[in-house]
Order: sequence, then structure tokens, then C-alpha cells
Amino acid sequence: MLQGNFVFDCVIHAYDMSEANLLDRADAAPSRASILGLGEATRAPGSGDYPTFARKWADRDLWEMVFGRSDTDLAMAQTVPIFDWFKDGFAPVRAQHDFARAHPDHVLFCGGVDPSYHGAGILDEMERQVKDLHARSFKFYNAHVDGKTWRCDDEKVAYPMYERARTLGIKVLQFHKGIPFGTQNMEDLRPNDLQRAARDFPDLTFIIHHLALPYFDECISIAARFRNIHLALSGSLGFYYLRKKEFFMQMGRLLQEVGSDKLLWGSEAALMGCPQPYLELLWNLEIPSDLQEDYGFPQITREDKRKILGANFARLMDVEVPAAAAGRDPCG
Amino acid sequence: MRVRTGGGSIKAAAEERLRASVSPLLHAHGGDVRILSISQDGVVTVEFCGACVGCPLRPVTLALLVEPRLKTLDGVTGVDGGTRISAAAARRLAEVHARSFARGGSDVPTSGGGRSRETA
Repeated sequence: MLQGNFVFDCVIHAYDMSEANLLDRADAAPSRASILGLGEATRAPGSGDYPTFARKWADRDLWEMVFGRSDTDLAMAQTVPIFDWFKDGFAPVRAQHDFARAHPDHVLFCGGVDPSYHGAGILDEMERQVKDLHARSFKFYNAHVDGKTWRCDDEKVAYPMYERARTLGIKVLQFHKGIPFGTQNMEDLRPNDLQRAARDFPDLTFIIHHLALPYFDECISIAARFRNIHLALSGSLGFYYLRKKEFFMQMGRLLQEVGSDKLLWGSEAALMGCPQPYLELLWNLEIPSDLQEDYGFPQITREDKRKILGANFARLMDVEVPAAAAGRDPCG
Repeated sequence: MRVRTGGGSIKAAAEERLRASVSPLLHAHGGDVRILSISQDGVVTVEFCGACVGCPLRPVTLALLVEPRLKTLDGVTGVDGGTRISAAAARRLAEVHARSFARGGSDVPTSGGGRSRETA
């Protein structure tokens, strides 16, 4: 709990960026370096005092980082199905599932598949991850090198996955958008291809991660217009330490145009380090008066923060907010 | 000038007002607005539809068009359009609306700059 508020982190990764998981290809190490560089550039002071992040995260270490050192109550361990440079994927299915299974009261498992890797067996793999591993959601990463990119509104490639997810009782699908890792085509990670998907699957919720940076304007417009598209602040709070005013501008626009009902807290631990500095930043956040004056941004309220910290994702995932948090005075 | 609702319900009067003088303008942009509820103390909650959904200018439409049209009805004390802007922006909208009305640019009196939820 953070100041009596339920903290539900929508995205952590038990990732594996060890040497052993790197594929033997020339762009594997540089791509890993680009991911590590993003973390180093935006990680909060005091959040990342670890010898190296180029590693495989063990249960004990990740548990200590997320739950031992922060006010996090519940988190979703998300598979990241990037197989372009990693033998077992950037954040392997097994590692996420093992972490969730080890801490069933604190961690939910999010599966992940990719057409370029799972091929013709992809729907069976989705079924296995739901029925055998108890996946509560799926994560997708549609941009790849070597011509393996797929579009999120492709009726033949993407829609069968959505339909199978729906059949399996999955209601929330999640997408890495923007912030490309390595040398994938930037435009493949525009969020625009989620619009048609959101129209065609109105009963499913689509979550865009990373605010689709640098496609922020598109991301805002899409989330504002589509009832079933939500935005995860995954890793976004790290930009406060690098580009503070730009971060305030982003938060102001999110509150004004999208609304706090559709914003989700996501730490991106382990890459972004311990969540606690970001949680405290969010809790103490105020939209500066000059931006309220010049841009008309509303001030962020404690009720906004309560929703962002966990209430919104709990609603999407059908998770009951503990009574101690649900019954608190939001203005108290 | 306040307009009496003639003994009918506030909701019926508000719906008629929107139909007659607001929706035609919004339809030109592919948008619209409808009433969701009216509170005991006369606050009308409206929902934007069509192209107005997600439009960044909703607070302006609310402050300069929807709220002034509704607040002249007896019993309507405010309009909540589900938008959020700062107090500074609300003040600017109120001022521009007041100036517009003073010059005869509007057929309804000043309303106070819209009731986007203000938090500043």
C-alpha cells in the first residue's frame, strides 16, 4: 500500500539478458545494449544500485526489488515475445510463470506469443499458456527484424490470436508500442494499427505500453477516442529525471485528454530498477502552475493517483481491491 | 434571460434545447452531445458523442456552446461534460464568452466559462 492506496503494477519483467540467452548473430549484443542503455538513461536515482542489469533475474532478487523494497501489493509479470536476439525471448514465458507461481498472492502471469516464433502452433501455445500456466493476459511485440513484422490489425495474422484469447476468457491484450529495441523499423511500432483492432473487438481491452513514444500525439488521440484502449505508464516516469518539463507536459495532456480512468501504473522493473522512487514521484506529483496557466492542464488529484496506482488495472483484471484500500477516503 | 421550463421536466427542456440549438452545430463536425443525468441540485451531466469523443476542443465546446445554452433553463445550475481543464483555462473561456456576448456574438448570456471539472 502507498499511503493507503492499493498498488498494482501492470508490468514487471523477469527478463533474461544474460550472455547465455543471446543468439549468435551480429546485432544481438548491440540490441541488448540499446535496451540496457534505455534503462541506464532514465532509471531513477537510488532505484538501480545493482552490479549489472545484463543478467537473468532470479526469483529472490526480483522479489526483493519489487516487493521487498517498494510499496507494491500486486504485479503482473509479463512475457516479452522478442526472439530476434534472444534464444528464449527477452522475458521468457517460463521465467514469468515461475515468478508468478512462486508468489501466487502477489504476482499474476501474463503470457506472450509471436507469429514469427510460434508459427502454426501459436494458437495451441496460447491455449497452453492459459490452461496450463494460468495466463491472465497476453503481451505482443509486433515489430521485428528480418521481415517478421506483423500488423496488429492483420485479419489473418493478428485476429486469430485475439479470437483465441477471447475464447480462452482473456479480456485484456497488451502491446509494446513505440520505444523500439534495437534497429527495428520505428514506424512498425506506431499505435495506429490498434484502432481497427479496437473497433473490431469491442469486447476486448487493448493496453498500449510506453505511451508509444515518440508517437505520443497519436497515442493520446487513440486512447481518448477508443473506449477500450487504455495506456500503461510503463517506464514513463523515468523521463522525469531526464526531461522533467516534457514529463509534466505528458502527464498534463494525459489527464486532460485521456483521463485518469484509463491510465495504468507500470514500473518496468527489473530494467528500471526498484519501483519505489517512481511510486513516490507519482504520489507527490503536481502539475506545475505555469502549465496549468499556459496549457489548461488540470491539477492531478489523489483520486487520480488512486486510480492510476492500482484501481484501474484491478478493474480491468477483475481483481478485488483490498478492503483497507477500497474503503479509504480518497480525499483523506 | 432565464427560460422557464413551463412545468415540464428539466430533462425534457434540456433535451429540447440541445436538439434545437446545440446538436445541429455539432453535427456539422460529425459530433453530438446527449444528457446522461441531472442531479438533484440541477447539474446536467452530458456525454459527447461521435467526432466530439476525444476531441481536444471539447472543453471549449462545453464552455462556449453547451453550458451557456443549458444554463439559461430554469433549474439548471451547471453542466458537467466530463472534461478537465485548469482554473486558468476556465477563466479564459469565461472571459472570451463574456466578451462575445457583450458584442452580440451569442444569443445567450454569460454562464461562467464551462464546468469542466477544475482542480486547480
